[in-house]
Amino acid sequence: MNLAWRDVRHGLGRFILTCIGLSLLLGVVMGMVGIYRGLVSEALGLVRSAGADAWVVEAGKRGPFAESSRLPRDTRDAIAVHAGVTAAGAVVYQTVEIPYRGTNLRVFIVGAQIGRPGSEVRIEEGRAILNSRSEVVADRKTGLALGERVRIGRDDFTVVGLTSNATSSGGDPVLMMTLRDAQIVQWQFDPSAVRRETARDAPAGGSSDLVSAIIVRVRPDVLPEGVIGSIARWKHLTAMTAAQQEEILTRSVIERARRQLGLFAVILLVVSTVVIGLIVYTMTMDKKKSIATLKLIGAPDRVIVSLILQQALAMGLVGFAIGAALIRLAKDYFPRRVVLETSDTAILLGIIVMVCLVASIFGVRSALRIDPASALGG
Amino acid sequence: MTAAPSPVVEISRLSKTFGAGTTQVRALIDIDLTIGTGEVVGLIGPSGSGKSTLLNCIGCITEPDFGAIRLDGRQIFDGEWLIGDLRRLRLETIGFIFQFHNLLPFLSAWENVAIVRTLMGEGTDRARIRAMELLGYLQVDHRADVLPSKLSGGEAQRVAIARALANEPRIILADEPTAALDSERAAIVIDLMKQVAIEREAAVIVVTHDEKIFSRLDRMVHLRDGRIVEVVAKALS
Repeated sequence: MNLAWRDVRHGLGRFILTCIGLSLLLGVVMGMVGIYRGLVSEALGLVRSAGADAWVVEAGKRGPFAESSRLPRDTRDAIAVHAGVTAAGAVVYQTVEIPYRGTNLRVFIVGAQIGRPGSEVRIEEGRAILNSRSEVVADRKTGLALGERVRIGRDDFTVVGLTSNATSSGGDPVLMMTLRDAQIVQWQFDPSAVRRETARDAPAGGSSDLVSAIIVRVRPDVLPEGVIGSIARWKHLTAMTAAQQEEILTRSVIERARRQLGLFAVILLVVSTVVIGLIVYTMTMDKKKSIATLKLIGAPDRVIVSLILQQALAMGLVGFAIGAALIRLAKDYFPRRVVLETSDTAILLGIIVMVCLVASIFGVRSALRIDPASALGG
Repeated sequence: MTAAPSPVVEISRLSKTFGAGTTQVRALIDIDLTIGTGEVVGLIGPSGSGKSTLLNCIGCITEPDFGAIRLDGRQIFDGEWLIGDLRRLRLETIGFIFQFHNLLPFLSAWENVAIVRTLMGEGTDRARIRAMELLGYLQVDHRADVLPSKLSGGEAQRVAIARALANEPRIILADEPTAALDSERAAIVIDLMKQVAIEREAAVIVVTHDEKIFSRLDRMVHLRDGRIVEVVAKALS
């Protein structure tokens, strides 16, 4: 005869309401972890999708994501013929805000050379960029539709393809275009600005044939570290492996956010522990007379402890299940990507079990202190 | 001539003091009492006379300071508890009946009775059969699946008596079992307890203030200030 289940069944409505309240709290904890995973996924997604064995950037810089980097486009040609290199592609990265439907749309422009590293993108709808001018592939999060025209800088661009899950480390959706288009957006001055600079007798912008980085792929039998060492000897360049680039991004861009979200998750878990503890304590006190009666008729302590622990665990697990379902239903409505990994869910489940056990301590202690004599009399 | 009932509860020189110094209260002083099978004995006295303390000592809930207690031929107290697991002793030897029935609100009538058997290690199916027998014996088996909140006062008290009998106890301790009942129902409950005591060879000890049941008790033990001041046996009819 399971006393815990029968007590839950007796007050099923209250139990379910309690579980729903708890599930919201646990859903937020899961959301925090999911946001962190999304942050990592967004931050590293662009780096990983480039499929680079090595990144070459401006000397002394940790670009192109952690800080800005500029280098002449023809650096790519020199690297492409380096021993062991199979392909190299110049890329330009830039965050811009473009006027769109009466508001500003913040996007991350990726300019890449068609057919070269950095230009690969998974097209979900439409096609890849074929023309060298005025075509873009947009991430679905931009809200842009296939065939829609959008003004960027001084030119109009047509959306020819749609992709998804392509965002910058800041969460801005990607707009992919040719390298030349991206260079124009980045470096070309407005005519009025050019006229003003000319009147001041100052050069307007200097060279515009600059790129942010060179993505390098090497032969399978060649170690990227060897190629990097060789390129680094060209003093005006910095080269790093894909792993080093990921580490820079992780440390520079998302480390603080990771700590912040981690701290929030810990605080919420502590709050959950306190809440579960209070609920278990209240539920135990509500059953004070019943527990005293059980003791009086001879129920051993393990029956009473089991009653409380089972209810605490049931509450935690049901709350966890509802919370997990809620966050899975709601995750696509978050402004930033929420990634719910099975391993995180399993770890969190283990933590919740521990939290329930810890939170039951006060309830169990109180129950064991109840005097069986209190069952006698009014 | 009726044979003397064999003793089930034997108490000698039992004393209990609560508190110390100026707040010291001598709740029981040198109590001697023997109760045999088939007897229904009432503990009577004003508030603070020690009747509840005596009941708690017999029920192994409160530890006396001095004296000895023997239950069902087994010495359980002699200046100290001689039994390690008192809860197990209660489960196997004593049945409790309370003033407000104290049925577990989340269990149905039969579950409230069967839980005693399951605590003793019996399977739920067998415990249910035994519980239904007892509910039938007390004529409330038609309410077996009902929660206590849906039972009348009389029905709830019968279920509580069934629970007290579930472990086939040799001692039944009842704390004001008729306080919440009218005269007619109170008489039925006491008669039922008397019937149980005879049929099951148990001793029944009732703490009561309820004068309307005095005439149905086999013996009335009057307590005052922790001492037995008078024992009145029912005249043989």
